[in-house]
Amino acid sequence: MEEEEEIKTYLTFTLSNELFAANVAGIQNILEMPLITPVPKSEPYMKGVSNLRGSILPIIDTGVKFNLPGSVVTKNSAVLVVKIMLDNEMIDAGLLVDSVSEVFEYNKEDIIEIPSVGVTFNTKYLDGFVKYKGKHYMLLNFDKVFADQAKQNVLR
Amino acid sequence: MDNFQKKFREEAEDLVNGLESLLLKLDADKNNGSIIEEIFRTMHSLKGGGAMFGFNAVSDFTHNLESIYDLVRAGKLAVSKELLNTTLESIDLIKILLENKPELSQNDKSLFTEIEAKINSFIGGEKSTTRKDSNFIAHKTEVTDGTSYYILFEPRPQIMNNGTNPLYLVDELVTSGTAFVKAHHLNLPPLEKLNPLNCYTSWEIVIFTKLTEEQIRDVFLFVEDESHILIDNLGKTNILESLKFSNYLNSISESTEYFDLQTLTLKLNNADDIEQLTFKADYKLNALQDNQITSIRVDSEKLDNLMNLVSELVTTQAALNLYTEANKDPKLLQINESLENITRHLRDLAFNVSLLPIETLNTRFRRLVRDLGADLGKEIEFETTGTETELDKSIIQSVTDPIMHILRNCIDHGIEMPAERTKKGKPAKGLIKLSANYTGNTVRIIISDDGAGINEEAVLAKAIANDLFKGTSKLTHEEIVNLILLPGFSTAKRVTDISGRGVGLDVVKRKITEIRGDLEIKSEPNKGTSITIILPLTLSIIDGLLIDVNKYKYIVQLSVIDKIYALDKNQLGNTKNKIIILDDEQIPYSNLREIFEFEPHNTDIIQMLVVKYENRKAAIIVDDVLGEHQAVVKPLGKLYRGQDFISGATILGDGTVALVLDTNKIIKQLSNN
Amino acid sequence: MQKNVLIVDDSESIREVVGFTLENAGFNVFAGVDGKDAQKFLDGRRIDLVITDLHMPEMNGIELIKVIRRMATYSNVPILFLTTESQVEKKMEAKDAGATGWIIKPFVPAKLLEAINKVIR
Repeated sequence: MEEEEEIKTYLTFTLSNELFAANVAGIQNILEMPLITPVPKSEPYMKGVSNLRGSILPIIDTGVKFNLPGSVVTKNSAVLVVKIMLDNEMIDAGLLVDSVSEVFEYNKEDIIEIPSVGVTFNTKYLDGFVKYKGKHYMLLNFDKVFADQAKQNVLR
Repeated sequence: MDNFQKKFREEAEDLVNGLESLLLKLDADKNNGSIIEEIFRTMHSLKGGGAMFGFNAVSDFTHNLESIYDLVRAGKLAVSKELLNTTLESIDLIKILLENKPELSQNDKSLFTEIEAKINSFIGGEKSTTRKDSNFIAHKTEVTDGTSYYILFEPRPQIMNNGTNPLYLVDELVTSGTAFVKAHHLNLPPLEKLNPLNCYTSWEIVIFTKLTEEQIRDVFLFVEDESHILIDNLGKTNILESLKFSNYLNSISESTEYFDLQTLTLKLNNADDIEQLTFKADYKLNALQDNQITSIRVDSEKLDNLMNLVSELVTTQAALNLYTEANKDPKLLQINESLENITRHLRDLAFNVSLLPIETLNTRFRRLVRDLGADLGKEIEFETTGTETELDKSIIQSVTDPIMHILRNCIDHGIEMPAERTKKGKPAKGLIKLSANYTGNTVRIIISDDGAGINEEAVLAKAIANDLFKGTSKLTHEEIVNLILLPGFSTAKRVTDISGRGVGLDVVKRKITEIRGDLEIKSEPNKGTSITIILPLTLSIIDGLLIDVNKYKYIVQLSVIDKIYALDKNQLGNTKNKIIILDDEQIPYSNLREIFEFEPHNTDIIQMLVVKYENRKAAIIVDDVLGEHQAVVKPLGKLYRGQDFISGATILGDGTVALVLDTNKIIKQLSNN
Repeated sequence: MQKNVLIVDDSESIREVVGFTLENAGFNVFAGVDGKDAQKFLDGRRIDLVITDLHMPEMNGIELIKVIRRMATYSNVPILFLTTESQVEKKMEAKDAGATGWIIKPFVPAKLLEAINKVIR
């Protein structure tokens, strides 16, 4: 059992020419660019809402959220539907990414610690790096991305 | 029941201690009747409570003691030194029994036997059999299919003088099975002699029920001495389903005659006569109107599923509407029209079924006020009015915690300590009121207290400390009070406060806003605080108007729309204050494009919606009005919290998402400017 | 309309268990410790049902029932009294004083509600 857990499957995607990977366990669905209805006067990183099989899916402009420059919607753009924890509640959210590339398996032991220098991206959202086919991918942790937001709004 | 047991034990300990001192008094004054009476009474309480709260050993044992003092009380047994000694020993034993251990120690057991023997010797050797556990369970419903009975219930006219309502008894009986009830008013005196407080009615009931004859008698338990009650067993067949019986009923239903019991039994005794009614449904409607099931309990999950399905139906209907319009097939048009009608009715019905009165929460609120008030040493009365007001059950669920928080605030911060209240010239007992009512398309729940009111200085200081207010301009009292609703007024540290007490109202407001509601607050120093929660009446499905702004579609709830105008651009005039006069009324207006910070839009004809809320009106300019649309409103989700003018979203027939406008908020903003 | 019930008993645990049961059944409950104490709840309020113990230190149940029956607004209010199996003679006395019915102690919540159901709706 334990050895199986060590091997995880990752999905790679790009955002502003940076290479990312995320554990597929956290990804519910990958949507080709859906129709997005913008919500007026919302946070800049909130791209709008979409119809996901009859429910309303909030779409996050991941590039803006991560402060990466120059993310544009193209025909390669896609939305990763993920479950995130917000105020102790699981909600669905769509992450807009520039393109989705491939899926690979990786051993947990091979995750490289985050180097302290040379990373342009805010490292607090990352679990580390993995090297695959000669390229480095940043391992994104969705829960950490949204943990910031969760902090503020709790009634209980 | 653990808490009750604990409470009883504390109480029993007091009783036992009281008993001890009474016995010592009796020792000094052996013939004092009132002391004896008091001892008896205390033992009786111990016995009763013991049985109630599962201290059966205490109860059984005390029963024997009580018997002794019953004899003493009746003068049949003299108070002697020996008696007092035994009683005191018994009290020590009761103390041991009150520990309610599963098993007594060997020592205690022999003590028990010894004392019991002594007690029995006092009761004249006549061994008082230890009382068996009383039969707690009332109904051991027999597992038979049922029995038919004829019951005559003739109460005496004065029956209602002691608070009895004979109808309740008839009703209790009738709901235990299927029944036919015939009421008689044979002894009705002439009007001038009629005493309105008397009962002149008697009832004949033919019933098929699972109750036993004894259980039927139990129904009339309280009134059997004051009534003539006749119960006749008609056998195991359901007489109400017998064709002969129903014919017989029809023959006498118009008359004032009593049943002919003989006929009744005769008809039944001949088993061949019994035929099943084929037109049962009809028959029931005519003869058994008293006994229809008027309500059933439904698992709330089933209701949620129903609502979800109806929502999907409405969305699918919208898609079908689009397709039908595009196709122009007359047959399809016709079918779609009736289908749309059914969908609408079904939607309204499903919505109605999900309504719950606010009073379902009263017990929780009352308990909170009582318990927390007591903890804080405050005496508080809790009054509710209008709580029969109904809300969607999901709204009720979402609003419970916010109301609990508001109540906590009232109890904790609002109502002062009794001494302080007295000093202020107020009654020592505080008052918290909760009232609810409908206003237009919303429900208002108002929670008010007669406490200290909101402390202006403290609020100002905190607002300045939290960077919400610069402290430069002079604010009115109301403005200051409303500062506490600003996001970020209460810091995270306070939110996680133990037991949720002292939670900031800004958090409560946010929670209310999530369900498209609003919060208003009023406060007067030393007079109290009043918080109004405004909630949408409809939550999930609304009749809406589809509009277009900046190439995107929006929904406005139809019920808030007063009128729609198509105006020439020039009619707006050049007024800076953005007031338009329509039908002799001055109405503030704004362009949605402006509200939403979109590029302006230049057209000659302007579409203007006049929307109303309570007595306020406002007009909003939109690009285009597209038509009516039934919308299933879904929340935008937590990621869109704090969205001011959008209350939700809906999926249109073509699968795209339209946003639902919160016109109440728009009106509020426009009329405040 | 929520019904107001007044429970009068010198035993706190009985008051609590009756109060708890009735509040859960949707009643609004007031509690008095004896006949004398109970009277303060009757004025200026609509009480729909009184449940009283018979043995109490200050003004016993029978006296309380008589007092209530003499009050104009309560001449027809249902009154249930708490009694034990062994006190049959008390039953008659209480009935004569104007009680509507009784509840035999010990009782379980269902039994209590059953008795109440006979006298108010």
